[in-house]
Amino acid sequence: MKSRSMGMGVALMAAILLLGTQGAPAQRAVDRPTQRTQPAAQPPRAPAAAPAAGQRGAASLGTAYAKRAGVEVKRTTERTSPNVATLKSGEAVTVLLKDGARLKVRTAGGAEGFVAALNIASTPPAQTGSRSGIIIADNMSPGERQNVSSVRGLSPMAKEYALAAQLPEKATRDVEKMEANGKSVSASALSTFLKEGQVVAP
Amino acid sequence: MKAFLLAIGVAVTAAALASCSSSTVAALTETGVRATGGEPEKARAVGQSAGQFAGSFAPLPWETEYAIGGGIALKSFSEQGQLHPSDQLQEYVTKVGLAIVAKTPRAGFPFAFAVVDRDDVNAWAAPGDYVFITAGAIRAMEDESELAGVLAHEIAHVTRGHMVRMMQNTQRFAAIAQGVQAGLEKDIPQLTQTVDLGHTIIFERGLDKDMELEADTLGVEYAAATGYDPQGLYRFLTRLEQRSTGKGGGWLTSTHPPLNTRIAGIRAKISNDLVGIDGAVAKERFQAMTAKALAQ
Repeated sequence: MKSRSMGMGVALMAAILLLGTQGAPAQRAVDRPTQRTQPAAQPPRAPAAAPAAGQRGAASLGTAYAKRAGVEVKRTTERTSPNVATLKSGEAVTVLLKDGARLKVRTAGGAEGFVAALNIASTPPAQTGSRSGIIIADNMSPGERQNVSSVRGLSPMAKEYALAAQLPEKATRDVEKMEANGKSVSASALSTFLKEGQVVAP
Repeated sequence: MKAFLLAIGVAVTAAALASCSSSTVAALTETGVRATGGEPEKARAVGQSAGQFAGSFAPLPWETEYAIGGGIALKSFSEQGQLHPSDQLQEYVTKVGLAIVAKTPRAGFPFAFAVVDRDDVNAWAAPGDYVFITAGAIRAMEDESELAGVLAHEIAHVTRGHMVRMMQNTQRFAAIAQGVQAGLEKDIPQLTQTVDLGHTIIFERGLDKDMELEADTLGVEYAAATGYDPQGLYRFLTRLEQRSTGKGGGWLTSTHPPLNTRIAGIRAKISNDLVGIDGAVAKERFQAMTAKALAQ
């Protein structure tokens, strides 16, 4: 049993690491024309030897983890396909198979679908930024997030610095306007912006 | 005076412990020994205190991060150029940047983006989620995926804490860190020194080359995860390399690794991890949103 698990682990790592090596040569990946503005409309490919949907206990390649918050599990391999689930950062999924640059996965809740391999890692993301000297959002409580969000605006200490350094008032106005620009974009406006540009997460 | 030197010694050693470089630890510990007058017993005491200090120091409190970043932003607008006057351009760049932030570990943080009105090709980031790009850099681009690639590179510097780490490796930063620890948040002279240090790192000394290469590969991944063509940054840097005639700015000078090294790193990232992942280039929108503003 142990050797089987190890074998599956090796297979999973190989699947993730070698995802890009099948199909086009690596060189072509960089040099190919890139004028596409939206994914070409193609029918979803039926993966060979795919486990039956929702069938627990089907053969799998092992466990993998979402590399970031909001990873979308899509019904098919098309990036415009509807979501069947959205993963939290570090959320574990069972990898069922690989299909090109995507993995077919099953969530803990039993939903099955496809994720881009770039959103999945064989190990969970780091749990703390304590040695990096930086705050990582994933490690913050909702209250801490609220505090950080509300602090936006030129720091009072930075304002005092501007006065002490006798910086031009225009510099302060520019920073304040820069910050106001960031706060003025609502989530719905950002969603509309992405749709208009046909920018769709893989 | 001796107490002051001892305090500096503690702070210096604390900064060394907060970073991960053994060579830096050795160098800064030596500095700490010198600060205590070269007395080994006191130096050992400094080390013990510093260990406790370092444990409570990291990560950097966000109030400190925003104060330092705000100061660097002020100094940037004061010395590097003013905010570009086009509101449309500022809003456009902000939206592209915020879309990318949503796919990073700092999703939900209040990032702020600015186009600086100067002609050279440069972009930089400061702690506290401030990201800058010059009008000259945008003029050298051809589509939105290239803009996304450059912004994602700068966002990666913030998510990885590159600037903070660089500053933690210095004696001057250790002093302000100690000030904050002691509740001396209003120590403007220390903040001034730290802002000057950050400005020097960005515009003269540069980040570690490995940090720049990490920001390239991580930025490419962020852009791809957002839905942009991951080759945007590759195309932009390749064009810069072909056109490079000396009028460059930060992205073309000694503050960054050579362009051919960066291009090779991005090429390897795409070939190894992102084959089969394409995305939007949004060339028409980019032209529509930038041409008029940059013709001013």
